[in-house]
Amino acid sequence: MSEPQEATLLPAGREIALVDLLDRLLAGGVVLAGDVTISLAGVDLIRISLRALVVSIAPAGDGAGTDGTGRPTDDR
Amino acid sequence: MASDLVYVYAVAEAPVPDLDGLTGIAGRPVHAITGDGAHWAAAGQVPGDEFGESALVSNLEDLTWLARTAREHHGVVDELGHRSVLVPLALATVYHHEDGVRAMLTDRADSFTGLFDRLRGRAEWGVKAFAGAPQPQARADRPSSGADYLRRRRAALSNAARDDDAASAAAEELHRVACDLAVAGRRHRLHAAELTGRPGTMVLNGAYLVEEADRDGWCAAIDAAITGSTLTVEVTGPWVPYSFAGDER
Repeated sequence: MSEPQEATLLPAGREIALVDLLDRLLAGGVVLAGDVTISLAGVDLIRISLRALVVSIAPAGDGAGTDGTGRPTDDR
Repeated sequence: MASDLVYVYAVAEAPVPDLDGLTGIAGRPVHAITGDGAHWAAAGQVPGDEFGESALVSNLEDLTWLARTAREHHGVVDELGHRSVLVPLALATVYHHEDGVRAMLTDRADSFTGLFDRLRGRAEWGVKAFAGAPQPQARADRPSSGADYLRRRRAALSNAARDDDAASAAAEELHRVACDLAVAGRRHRLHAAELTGRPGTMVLNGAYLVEEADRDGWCAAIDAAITGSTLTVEVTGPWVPYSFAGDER
């Protein structure tokens, strides 16, 4: 087989932005009722990114401010 | 330790040769699962303690996990997208056993056939547009009175509203141009400034399904539309047509 033509779907060496990828992966693709059914509709990037920020500024090691799963304990 | 689950990345129109060495989530090899027909699912084993229902719910809210999983998922879909007409599946499509995947391929054969026909020879492109950053105030002197302050404040708000209206109109026009030469177009949610890291407000986050043959014309039309525009525009792609492979959600 020869090399496929037009082989670069995305320019080589240019990392695609995570947020652009997540737009597509969270709101695109065929939704099948697999055996494990979860909804992606509630995945909120702002909330997640703020949580990640909370976790990253918490003192290392003691998990302060989170319940151990990365979720702030005072969330809702 | 929960037993492994079967993660399905995409469904291909026909068998894709040479999967050897292709790895996906958790570094696990990608392999083929076939049903009764020609359609072919790209799947891999994933750890049950990460992809079980309750684990998934919390993992999807963990940015580090989500980012890694999204990139690994995309790595497989993007690679296979070069080799076959492909219907990408939603992130985290998980079955207990391969039998479930085989049954799905058989049950959904007609629906996949329709999607292959829709997506063949087409790719997705993204267009993101941002309004210009707010103009800094030209007058640096202090307001001479409370009334002067209020007058300036009202003028600033009114200018900002006019700028917003102009940016929205420009975004509408850009979306119209992008749809014109595309087979289909849709809008993703706009990103808040926290996600873009840019000074300007996002006014368009569009996805467009474009015929390969129309690719140059479409790009040229976008270029023409944004020449002289006040919007900052970023085009991404071509993508495997994630945004056109499912029900509009």
